[in-house]
Amino acid sequence: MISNQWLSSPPAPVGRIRPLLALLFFLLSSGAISPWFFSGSSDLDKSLVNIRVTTQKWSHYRPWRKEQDRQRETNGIYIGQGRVITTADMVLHHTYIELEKQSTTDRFPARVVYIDTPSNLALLKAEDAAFARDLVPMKIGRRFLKNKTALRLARLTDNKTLYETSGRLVETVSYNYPYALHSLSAYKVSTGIINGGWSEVLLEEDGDDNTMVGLTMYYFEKKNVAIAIPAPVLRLFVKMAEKKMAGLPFHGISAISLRNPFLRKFLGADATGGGVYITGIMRDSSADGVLRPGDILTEINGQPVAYSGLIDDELGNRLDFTRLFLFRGDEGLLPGQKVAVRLRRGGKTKNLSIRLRPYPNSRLRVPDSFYPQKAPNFIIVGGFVFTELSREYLHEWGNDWRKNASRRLTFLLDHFAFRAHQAGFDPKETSTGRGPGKTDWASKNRIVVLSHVLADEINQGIGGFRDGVLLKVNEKNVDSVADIARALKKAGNKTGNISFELSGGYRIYLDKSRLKQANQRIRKNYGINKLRRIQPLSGGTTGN
Amino acid sequence: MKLTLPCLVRLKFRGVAVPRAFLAMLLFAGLPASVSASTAPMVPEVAGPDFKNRLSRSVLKIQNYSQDYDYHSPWNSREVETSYGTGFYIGRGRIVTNAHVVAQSRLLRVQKNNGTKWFPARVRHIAHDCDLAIIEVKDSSFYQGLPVLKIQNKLPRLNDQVAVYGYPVGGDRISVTIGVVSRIEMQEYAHSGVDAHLALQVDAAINPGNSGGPVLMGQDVIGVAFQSFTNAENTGYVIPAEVIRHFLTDISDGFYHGYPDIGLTTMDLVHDATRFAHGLKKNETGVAIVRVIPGGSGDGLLKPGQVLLEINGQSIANDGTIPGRYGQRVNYADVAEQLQIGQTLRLKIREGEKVFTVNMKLRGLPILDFQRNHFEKKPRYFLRAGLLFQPLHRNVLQSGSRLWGDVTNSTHGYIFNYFLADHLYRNRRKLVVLYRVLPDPINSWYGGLAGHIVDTFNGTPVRDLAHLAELWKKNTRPWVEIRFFFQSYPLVLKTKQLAAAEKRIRRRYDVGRRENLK
Repeated sequence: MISNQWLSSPPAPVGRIRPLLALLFFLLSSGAISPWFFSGSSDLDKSLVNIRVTTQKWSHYRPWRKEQDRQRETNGIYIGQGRVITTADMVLHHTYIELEKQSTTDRFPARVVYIDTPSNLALLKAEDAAFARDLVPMKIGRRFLKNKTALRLARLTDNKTLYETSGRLVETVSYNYPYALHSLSAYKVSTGIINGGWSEVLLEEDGDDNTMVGLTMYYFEKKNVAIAIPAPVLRLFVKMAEKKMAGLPFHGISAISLRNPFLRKFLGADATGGGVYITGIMRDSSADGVLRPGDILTEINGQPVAYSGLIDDELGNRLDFTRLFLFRGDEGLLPGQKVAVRLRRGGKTKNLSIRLRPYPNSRLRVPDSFYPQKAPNFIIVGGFVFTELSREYLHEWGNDWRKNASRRLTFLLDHFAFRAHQAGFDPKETSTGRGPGKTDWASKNRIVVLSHVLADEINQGIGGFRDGVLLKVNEKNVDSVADIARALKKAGNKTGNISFELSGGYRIYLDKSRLKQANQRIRKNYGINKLRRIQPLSGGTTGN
Repeated sequence: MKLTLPCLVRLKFRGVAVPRAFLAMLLFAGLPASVSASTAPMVPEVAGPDFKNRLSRSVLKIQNYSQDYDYHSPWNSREVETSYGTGFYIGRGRIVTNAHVVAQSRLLRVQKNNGTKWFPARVRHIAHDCDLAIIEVKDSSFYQGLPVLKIQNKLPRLNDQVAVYGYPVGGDRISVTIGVVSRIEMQEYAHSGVDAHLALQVDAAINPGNSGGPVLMGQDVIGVAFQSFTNAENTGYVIPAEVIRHFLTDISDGFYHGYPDIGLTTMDLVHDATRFAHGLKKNETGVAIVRVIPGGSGDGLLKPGQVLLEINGQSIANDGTIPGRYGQRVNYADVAEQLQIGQTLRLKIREGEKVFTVNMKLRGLPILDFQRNHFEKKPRYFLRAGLLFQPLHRNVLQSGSRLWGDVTNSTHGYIFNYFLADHLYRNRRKLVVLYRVLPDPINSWYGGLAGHIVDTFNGTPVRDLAHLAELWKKNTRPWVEIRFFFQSYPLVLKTKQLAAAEKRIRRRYDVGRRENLK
């Protein structure tokens, strides 16, 4: 049945699926494997959908335009009330989404109703409510699973048949999700052939076909290991979506382990009893105002934190202590809930309470991919393209961006991305943490970069500047692209010059009286649709 | 643009000194037959009819047994390497060659053209910033009958025909190649990694082994072959006579001081609005001072924002050039190239409405020494408790891929590239790096701090390596606490435990000397 359908099906859509299908076909026909296909007796295929996504990223080097659009295909799971759950990385930067299901060849336009990049999850809904009518909703499991649990992984193939393989939960780990600042629990699942590894549903081998226990988000081909999002994380995400919350709670703590006995004693920790040394607290995060750099955090919700920073969970896993700011047992915590902490400060023990808050996006000095659908801020003045430094901007140098991009900019990303209270970072004490330089990077809200210069007669002779940091316009400090616009507005356009002070001591000037005309000329000459995009710093919703 | 570094043949540069292994490889390739057929050189007209008998006798083959320092374990030295280059006799017992031919020398030998004997030699003067050296043969009988090659005073012109003499790869005997002067321009001198001086570009073949050889026009030396360019064909580079003369003048007091540097970073003022904003009048031209480099010639004399209008009476164009000595416009800094450290330059300056003249005494640029390739100097280091501290400089960075190439550590790249631009010298002129940690129970938790730059020792900011050593030795506190730039936790050791650890570590890792602070 399968092979006939597959041969007569229309050409496979663009994406990674096709070569894998070809491989599968080869393996099937050669008898190398014989996966277990469900047919008829189960409703599993009625809970799975195909998602066809067209995506288009913003260009950060030419911030007035978008990059080429791309198409890909992935799997989704119907969880009731018209909602399909999938991984967020599959639908990021989407421009158009279609859903397909097993019972019909129709395609159903859909939209993202909720997305949370830190947990790498998204909810989709078809525009037409009829889409969900013959689908069977899948329940999300309540518990973290024990290691060694036997599992099944399933997806819908191109020709809308069920494809299923077996696997085994080998380890529960604290894993850095692709867009998360902090680690979250994840399953490592050993499995043989997996269809790309994106967004496959995880079921217990001997469980029912109606309860998902996880969702795969990555597959290491060489190791035959899939990384999956456990059901309790899925539940937490769905709960957030239902309450329309801004995002997962984020602790905002950076800490070091105290396994080193010298350091332990030097920093005033007890010789036994565990605890981690807090080195930084991100501003406006959950811990801000409660914990301080220099504290030794010994217990969270009554659970002891080892010197290594690890905690033992109920199932015998060793996980990062930060997990306790997201889960109490199997139950996920939401913003607004409280977490009790015990700590040593100045030789005394304190019991305090932390009220959970979502990740403080707007407090990033160098924005990350945490809300990547945001278009970059920029302004073009006399051919000078100014934009705000972000990780995406640095990624414009390709895979080797760390080697090829300006070392000043990668340095700023590495050391000044966050606004935080940090141990040893007080400028009055020593220069520790700030490096020996002149510019006080820590005082900046955002880093404004002179990306490049679009050649025009108004900038002849100063067109060589690239990737400099803009410090001042007309002697006023620049903390964002909006500051440039403000300074220009204030300067008017009669006579005189506008001055730009760049890092490295360079001062360049533009003639105000020629600027307006030049801007129009540049716009026309280079086919630029707009000369500025200025959105407030606090942008970055995760729920679009 | 990548210029080849002649002495770094082992790094796959197309170099001009030949390592012995390279020759062996060629022999295995069965080249000798065809090579020997072509080694009887045609006598070029430019060299005059008697060249074969007379001048070529002064073109000498140099063999250098060199040994680099091991920055990974600076108490050890590395394997000995053999390389070959060329030199020529300029009279009074002095043989001119490239610095990179004789760098890091442990044993140096010279052979005459068509000679059978190798004569031991020694380096008298070496100038790494302009890649020149003077060597001498101890045995005075060596010089008998050696004609003196004369160094010409004038620069050649474009299209002048020149001949390159030397002992490049492809055979044992002297080789001559002919070409014309293709270009005269300031070029990067690859040997030091940072310096640039005037160079002649010629289309005569310059190959490994040609380094240090004379380039003749008629009977006179117009330069020294020293490097080639890998990305293009027929582009050999020659150190011109004036740079050789500059070197010879510099060493006339028996000591090499190095080139002076103008010590300023300036910005072109081609752009009208920027030029007028700097106060220049309608027909005035010049360049704006962006930075005055600390310790350099302009330190304490000039300020950022001022404009250089004239240098030694010559008007500076908006693109920073002045009329050149060889018909081509040249960067204004070329004027300093003609002078020695201690001599004076006259600068006409505009600052807003004021115009004035200053006399600027020329100095070197010691602040950038850490960006140069270092030679001859033994590595400085300080090893205690298994912690290896070294000054942060180019050799140290390049020796450890962890430091230089590590993509996760942007700090070194930033400090190296932006030391002047971002005033990173403001609090520290010299930086000390924890190069690596030799594992021992006393330091077993600190491997992660390797590669980081030292900030303080027991609360005192560390000025340089010697200062760190002094603080360490004078420490009377029960703890040693070292903090690093951009690290929020310190390295902590118990003073009481140090002495025992020292013995243990020296034995375990067979460490010779624990420090070299000179």
